[in-house]
Amino acid sequence: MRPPTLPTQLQRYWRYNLRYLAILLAVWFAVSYGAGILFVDELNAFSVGGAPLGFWFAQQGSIYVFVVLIFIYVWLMNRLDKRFDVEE
Amino acid sequence: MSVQTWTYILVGITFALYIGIAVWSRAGSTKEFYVAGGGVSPLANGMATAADWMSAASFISMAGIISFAGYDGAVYLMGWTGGYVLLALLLAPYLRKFGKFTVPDFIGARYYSNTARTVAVVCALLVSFTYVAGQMRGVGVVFSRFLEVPITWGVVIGMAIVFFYAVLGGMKGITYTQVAQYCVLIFAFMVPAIFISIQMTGEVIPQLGFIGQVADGSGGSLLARLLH
Repeated sequence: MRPPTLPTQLQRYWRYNLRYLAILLAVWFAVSYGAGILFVDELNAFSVGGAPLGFWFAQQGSIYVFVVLIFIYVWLMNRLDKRFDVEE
Repeated sequence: MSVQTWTYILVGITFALYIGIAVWSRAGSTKEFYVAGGGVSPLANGMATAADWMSAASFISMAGIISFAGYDGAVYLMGWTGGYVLLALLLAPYLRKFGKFTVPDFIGARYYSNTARTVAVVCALLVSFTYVAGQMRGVGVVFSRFLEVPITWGVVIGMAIVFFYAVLGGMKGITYTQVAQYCVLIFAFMVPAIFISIQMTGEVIPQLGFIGQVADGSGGSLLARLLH
């Protein structure tokens, strides 16, 4: 029988959870709103292949980053669960 | 055999497949009906969710909107896919652990508030109606094209099939028919994209072809050719 996790442990776990969410959602915002909408004209000065960079971010790049973000989140949270002994 | 006969045969096969899946996954309890008894594998769930994303609204409407609205259509791409990130980070893990069947139930219990629950119900209904209206219109358009019936009849036929396998099979039936749809849809998405990319830019991977050069010797970028 595993020893139960203490309430202070759970608070620390939750704080780590929130910190990860803040970082990942900041990246999410930067890649979609930032690169695709707010800073499009500045970014369009550069290009990747035949596409202006801002346009590329809106059409493809942001979606690649979204997929990677989800994988990173799952890996981080599994590692956190194992560390705090609350894994499923 | 004529194209029309082939069409009827293929449509008949897909209907039989969905009805067969519904009968196989007949729901026996409330938990089975609402959450497939919790026993659907993550891969199957992922395929079912992807089939939702790739259904009529993307294949017909989003493709159309982006080609007509041009650059601004990118907001639909970012919004729809970015929403998955929000779901995965903010809702899905907690929903599963909580054990409630629906999102409004979860919101009400998590925030100890019936007001929050009511708001969530209203949002869910609004979103569902908008989504289903668009999808059923797509179903009507596709059936009217393939079965040569008026669009209204196409919608009714689609509704009848969905009603049957949703009521009989519950979440499990819906999930597995979505898995079947995913297999068809991923093929239907990839084949035109890959071959158009090969034809226009000689590049096999469509994402690279999108940013590549036109293949007919003039050497300009594909996007420059398309956007002007």
